[in-house]
Amino acid sequence: MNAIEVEGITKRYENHVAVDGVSFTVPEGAIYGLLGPNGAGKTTSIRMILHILHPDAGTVRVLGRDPRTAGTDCVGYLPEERGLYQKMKVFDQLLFLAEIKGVARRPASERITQWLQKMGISDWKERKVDELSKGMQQKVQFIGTVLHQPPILILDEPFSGLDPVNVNLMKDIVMDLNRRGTTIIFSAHVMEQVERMCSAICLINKGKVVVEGSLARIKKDCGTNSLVLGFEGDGNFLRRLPEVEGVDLHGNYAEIRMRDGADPTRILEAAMSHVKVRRFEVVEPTLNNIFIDLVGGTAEEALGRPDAELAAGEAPHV
Amino acid sequence: MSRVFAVIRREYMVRVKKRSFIVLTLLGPILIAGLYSLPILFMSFGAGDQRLAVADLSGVMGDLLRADLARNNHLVSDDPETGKGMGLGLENDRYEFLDVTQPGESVAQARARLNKELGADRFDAYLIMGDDPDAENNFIYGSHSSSALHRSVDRALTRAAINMRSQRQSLGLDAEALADLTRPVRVLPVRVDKSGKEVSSGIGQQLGAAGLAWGMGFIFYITFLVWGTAIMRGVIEEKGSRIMEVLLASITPTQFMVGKVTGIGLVALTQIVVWAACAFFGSIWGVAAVPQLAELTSGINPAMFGWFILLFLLGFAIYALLFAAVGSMCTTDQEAQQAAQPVLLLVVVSFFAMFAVQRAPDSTFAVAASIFPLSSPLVMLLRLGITDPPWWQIMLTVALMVVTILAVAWLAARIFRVGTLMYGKRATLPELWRWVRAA
Repeated sequence: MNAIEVEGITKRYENHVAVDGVSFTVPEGAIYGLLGPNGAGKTTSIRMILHILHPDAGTVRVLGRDPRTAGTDCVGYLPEERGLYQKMKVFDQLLFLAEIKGVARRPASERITQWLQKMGISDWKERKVDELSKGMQQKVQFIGTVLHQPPILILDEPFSGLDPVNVNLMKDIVMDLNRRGTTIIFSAHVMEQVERMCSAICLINKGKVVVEGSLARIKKDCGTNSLVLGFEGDGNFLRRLPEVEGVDLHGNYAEIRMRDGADPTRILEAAMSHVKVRRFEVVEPTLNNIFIDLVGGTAEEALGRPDAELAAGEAPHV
Repeated sequence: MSRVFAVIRREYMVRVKKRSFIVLTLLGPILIAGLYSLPILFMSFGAGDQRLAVADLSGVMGDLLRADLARNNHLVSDDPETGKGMGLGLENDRYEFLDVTQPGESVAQARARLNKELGADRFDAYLIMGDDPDAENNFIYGSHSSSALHRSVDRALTRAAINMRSQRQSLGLDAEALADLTRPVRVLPVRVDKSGKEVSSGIGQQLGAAGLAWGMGFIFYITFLVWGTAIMRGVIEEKGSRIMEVLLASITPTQFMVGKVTGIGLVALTQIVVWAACAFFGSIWGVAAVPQLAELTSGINPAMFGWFILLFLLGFAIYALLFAAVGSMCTTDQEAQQAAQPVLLLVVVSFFAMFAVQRAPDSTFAVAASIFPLSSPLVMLLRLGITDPPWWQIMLTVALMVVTILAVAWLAARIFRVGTLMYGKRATLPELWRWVRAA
């Protein structure tokens, strides 16, 4: 059985279509990435899965059942923006979040204590939420998501606001839950963050699915037209080569997308005559490159990178 | 169901534990007692001693007035001890009686002269009395403020005029006899219900019954406003911090709304119970200290407490849901304060309607206002306290309130469903209507 099946869901607002006929399937036990730039419609899709919003068209099945009648207790949901009562103590807050998911008070308290320990914030359980750092609040919110031990976890931008140490802690915990059978659905706009974790993805742009399926198959389909060139010197010559379709320059290395049928050796030759080559490799395309390839955007439009996040600005809500 | 309880418990515990709640609940009775006694206190200050210049052009009125004031201890020369403490201390004003009569002057001349002297502050006020008590502008009272002639002077003047008329008609009555004749009568008001039974008799009992109804109405008024806006702000906080998404992924909007309104309703009830206990023990103490007060408490109908609870629950539900709906269509407190104006106005207008109803509790207006569901909690409660509304009106009121609760709940849940996830600007009326139809 599939954990989640989404079939042609659409959400229209007065001036724009937030989600336009999106379909995807999340197999049970998968780590699934719902990827796309800010404002692509990820959060709106998730809200429709959770029955927080009604889709204007299309159907949603969670574990084979309609969430409208079956409810969404089988899902744990970590919203993109933190939803905690600022003036409540951490422990009371978590108890409340467990209770509204139907967990009795006693087992809930036991689980809360365990999770607080696991997350390393036991000392903070009698503190009010507004005394906590953003990262700690994020952890509290995450604990609130898993207390009712749902078979499916939907995490909307789970790593935003966390430092690298805590990103790794969170990743480990999520991977651990997955090993024990929990289906995980991520949404992320920073694709590198989740690329290595996901077994399957759905790439969304402007409310429409760009590509969907297992990551391995997508990468294979998209071919090996990506190069990585490590060098010393000025890499701008790459932009002028006829074989090159696009370049991401990172100072001392460049990710290169070749035109279809181009010969990588020609690029290598050109490189040797312009810069000092340290590394030259034909690689699987990154998700970023796949996205740019499929959407046909320029490097500036590749909103999938952290520095582009600011430029893209805050996407309209809802 | 246990989830609704979780919401109720959270709303209740969080609010009851707040310091502001504890302080307000405990200080409330003191504040209310103060609020009630302040006007009495202020009025008891009276005007104090005043220099009253009197120009008597009639030749008789001045003496009559002075005699009357003296008889009632309103002259400075009187013994200050006996001059005080009359009628709740409301009429303890005293006058220094300055005779400024210039014989042969007309009223207009005296007026012009005394205006100047008043301007120079030779005295605090003047009183001109012409020679025909029935002529237009025969009596003129001048002072620096626009306040009318004080009641004690006014009454003394009227008695003096009666005296003068009787002298004119040579009825041969002296001042003593006249005072005797013009003494006001005392009427015993008796309230009789539809079955012909006397519900209360005497001013005290009626004051007690009306006072209780007004006190209860005042508690409604405060509670609806304070806790209604608390609900509204709660919803806005939940929207602002996006807790709403977590909540709506766990429970339905209806469950949430029921839980929230019930939880905060219980908080309000807790406060009222504390206040009622204070009032109860306060009145026991009061009756023990001042036995005359027993007449007030004996006028209290115990059924009023039942009506209070019924009308409170129904009224609170209506207003709480309205405030919740307002909260769910706004994003900031400032916005909500504006959007809540119509709801606030409904509460305030019902409170003011009580004044009209007090005067004529069985008028068409009173009946209509007591049946209209948004004003019935306050108005019907008052009518139940001071009159005997027929059963059909009570039933109709309760039925209409129940229907209103269902309608408002239905509407609010829909506005809530869409509005809570709508961030950004406040919804306009046409948008609201679309939400109601869409949800």
